[in-house]
Amino acid sequence: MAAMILLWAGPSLGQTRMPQLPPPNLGQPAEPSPAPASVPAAAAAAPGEMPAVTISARLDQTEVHARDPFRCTITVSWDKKPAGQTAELDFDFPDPPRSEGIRVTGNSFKASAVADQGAVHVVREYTYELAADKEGKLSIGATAVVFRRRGGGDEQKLMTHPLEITVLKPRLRLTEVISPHRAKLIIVGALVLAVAGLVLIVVRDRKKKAEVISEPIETLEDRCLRQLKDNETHRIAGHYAEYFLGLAAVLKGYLRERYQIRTQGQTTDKIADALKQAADQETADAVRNTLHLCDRVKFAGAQPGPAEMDRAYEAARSLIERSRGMDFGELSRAACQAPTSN
Amino acid sequence: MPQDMQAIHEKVQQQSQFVDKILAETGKVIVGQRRMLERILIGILSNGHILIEGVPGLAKTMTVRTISDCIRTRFQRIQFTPDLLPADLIGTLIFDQRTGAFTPRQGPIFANLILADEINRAPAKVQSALLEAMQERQVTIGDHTYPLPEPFLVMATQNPIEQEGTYPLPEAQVDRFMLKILVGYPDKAEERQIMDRMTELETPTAEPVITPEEILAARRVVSEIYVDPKIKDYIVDVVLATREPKRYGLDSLEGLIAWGASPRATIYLTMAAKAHAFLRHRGYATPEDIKSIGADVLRHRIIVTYEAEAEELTSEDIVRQVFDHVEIP
Repeated sequence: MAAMILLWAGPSLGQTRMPQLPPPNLGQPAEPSPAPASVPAAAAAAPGEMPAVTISARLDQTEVHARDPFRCTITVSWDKKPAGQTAELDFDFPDPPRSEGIRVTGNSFKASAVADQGAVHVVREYTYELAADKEGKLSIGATAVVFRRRGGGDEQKLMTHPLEITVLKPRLRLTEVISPHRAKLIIVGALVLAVAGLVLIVVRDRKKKAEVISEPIETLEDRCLRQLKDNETHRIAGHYAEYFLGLAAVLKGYLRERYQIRTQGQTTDKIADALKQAADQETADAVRNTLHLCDRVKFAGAQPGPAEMDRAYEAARSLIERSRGMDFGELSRAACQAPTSN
Repeated sequence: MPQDMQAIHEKVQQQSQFVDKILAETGKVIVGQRRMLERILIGILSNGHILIEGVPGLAKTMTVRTISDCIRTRFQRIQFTPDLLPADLIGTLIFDQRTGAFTPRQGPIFANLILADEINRAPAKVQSALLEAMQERQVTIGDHTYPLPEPFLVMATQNPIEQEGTYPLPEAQVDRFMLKILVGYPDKAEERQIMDRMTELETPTAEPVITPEEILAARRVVSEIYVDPKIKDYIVDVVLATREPKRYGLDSLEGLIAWGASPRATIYLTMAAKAHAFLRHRGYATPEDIKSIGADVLRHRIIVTYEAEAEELTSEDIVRQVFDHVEIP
């Protein structure tokens, strides 16, 4: 069963630590190396065998905006045999992976070991925080990793493979474009604009409502006359019964609203009698005749001719027109007080 | 209007001319009481008997007599008294000494128009004899049955006051009257007109304007008057509402009606509506006809419960509520 042992993890170092690091040699020709990167290096034995050390380097991004941070991690690993058969090693902190247009902003170190059946696999990770100042495809040269037997001797140097990264245009940062003072002014201005916009919306809404209110209201007479005209469609379609039913409905509805006469469930004569109290005899007679004609269609299957239809329409229309604008207060009260019995 | 409908309508308009003449003639004698006059004509036209109820002095008898004057027909007035016998009404067998045989002698009921004045003052056996004759339209004297003349119409009057010593008609017998008319007082103008007219030395009289044959012909026309299915449904709804008020949304009447109107009410309401349409010179019935005549047909066919009586509700109130509530077509 494998067990992982974290040996040591160092915090990310600030820029100030960097002078302590060895000078950069990226892009410089590497020292002669006994073995290529990722290839085990041959090592001497006493007091233990030099282990086969492998190194690798990788970037956490392949594309990055200029001035945005990215990481380069150099991993060194080897296996330790049990019972001191493998020599203890000392490593120099690897050279920072520098390149033209790339700067190091920090570093960190992490070591771990995994024991498995007496053997231990040791891993060391050297991470550099980088930032590019130049746009374009940049090349990061090979980095040298130097190590030796603890106490000195058998020094070896391994080189990582070169890396490439594409650097894009830098991101636009508000604080870089404008000063903080100006930014505050802009924010305040935006708030003022938002409030002004809100006020504008409210004003426009009120204006719209005012327009709706100021639109001419359809009077009762206008509505009933429109309904009478709409009812003509039945006549055009040859539906005489529907035409007269519709006409009676419009007329009764008008009388109900205008004269406050109860028309629902009332017979023609009752309606006409009530109307006589509220209006003049002529109007009552006209209504009586028209509604009787409608009754004839409804209850006797009569099919009045065009002349009768014209007369019925005209009677209803003229009644509505005549009543337009009259004061019905007193008349309505009279109608309400009119006896309803036979 | 369909052709046959048009024909009926024209026939009604033609045949109903006499109505205006009768109303004009009776108007010479009777002041007001237009409603009672029309109801009597409805009874004549639809072959239904009429019960007239009103306090004394409202021209009940005079109205019936005047109408009979307008119809060239035989009129009999029978004053119902407690000592009246059935034989006094329908007739009896008289022994003829010369021939040594019994010969029938027909009573006053053998007339076209009968005025049974104060019918509730005669005992039940006389009332039954009259009502049987009304129903059967024939009278049996001895071994022979004699048909009553056509038209035959009984107009009975009764007084709602002075109930002491009277024999109120049983509900079953009241049901045989097609209409029960309530006669009210005249208004002020009519009262003044009555005073002027009836205090003269010579009282006006009505002239005959129609014959019994014309009445029978008019009856045939009345029977042809068109009643739309919508109107028929309305009639049935009205009658059923008196039996099952709750079903028609008349919850307030639940428990107030002991007995609703019988199918005879449905028949009479239809017939009366047709006659009413005839009076209006129409060949078809409208809801107006039903509503106008409805109370007169239904008021004596609805028996109210004790609860209704306790609430001082009459059948008249119930009929009014039914007509107010049942939706007209």
